[in-house]
Amino acid sequence: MKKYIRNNKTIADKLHDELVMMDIDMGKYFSLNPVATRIWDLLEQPLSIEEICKVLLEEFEVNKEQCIKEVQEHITEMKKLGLIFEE
Amino acid sequence: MTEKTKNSEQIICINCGFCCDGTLFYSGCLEQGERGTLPEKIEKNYFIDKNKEYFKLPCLYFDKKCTIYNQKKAKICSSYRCQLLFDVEDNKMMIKEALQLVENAKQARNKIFKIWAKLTGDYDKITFNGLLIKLGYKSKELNDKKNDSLELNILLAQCNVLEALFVKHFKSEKKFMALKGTNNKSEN
Repeated sequence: MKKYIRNNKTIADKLHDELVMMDIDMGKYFSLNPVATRIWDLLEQPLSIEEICKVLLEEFEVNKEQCIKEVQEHITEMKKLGLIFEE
Repeated sequence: MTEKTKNSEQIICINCGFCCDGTLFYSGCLEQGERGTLPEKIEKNYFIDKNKEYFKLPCLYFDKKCTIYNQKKAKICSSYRCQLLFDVEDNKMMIKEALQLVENAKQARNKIFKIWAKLTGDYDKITFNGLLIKLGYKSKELNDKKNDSLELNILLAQCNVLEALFVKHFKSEKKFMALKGTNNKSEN
């Protein structure tokens, strides 16, 4: 089972429920929505998509299929942005 | 504005003070003709830039909260409302959340002050905007000497992210959007 972990080299911070990050090379900022931010929080430790969904299903009103689909999409996007790695 | 909203705003402002203490701004704007009618310490901090009148921040009347709240102040002191207050008024955020956000911002700012002091040995009392200026000079000085400091560059990036968060939550969401890069799926 593939596990993912956050890239700790990213400069990021949050004050509420949205993470703001900076792409140092481009000097531009971007933010993650609350669900993506929660996934980022959880990935302080290596977790699989199933393990992430288990937590999110308890926190958000969403069905399992939808949750897995959305987490997969977020993971793909976050990997592409270099915010997380596959362990 | 309802009485309830006014009370909520006062609770938030008393716990925050970022618009007075030099966290969000270098200066406060003055209206034409205000000079000469202002409290002494605001007059003392008066300056003109490109024909516009200002007073330097941090406000000398700010000591954890405004010490002249019920007295005559600059017009901007009573009229300025930050994004956080608008978000609470529009029910986008509860007061409890807003207070937690202010606390998180203070902790993030203080963490940056500590890193700065540890890196440079400069333990002088400083504002966030003051730190950005000092950090800019320090960074330029090191660049000129071709002496790159990883720690300082990381601190600079952390300051930039925190500054962006201040823009997002306290200045305006619109200004924050202007700071941001390309859209992607994870963005709102």
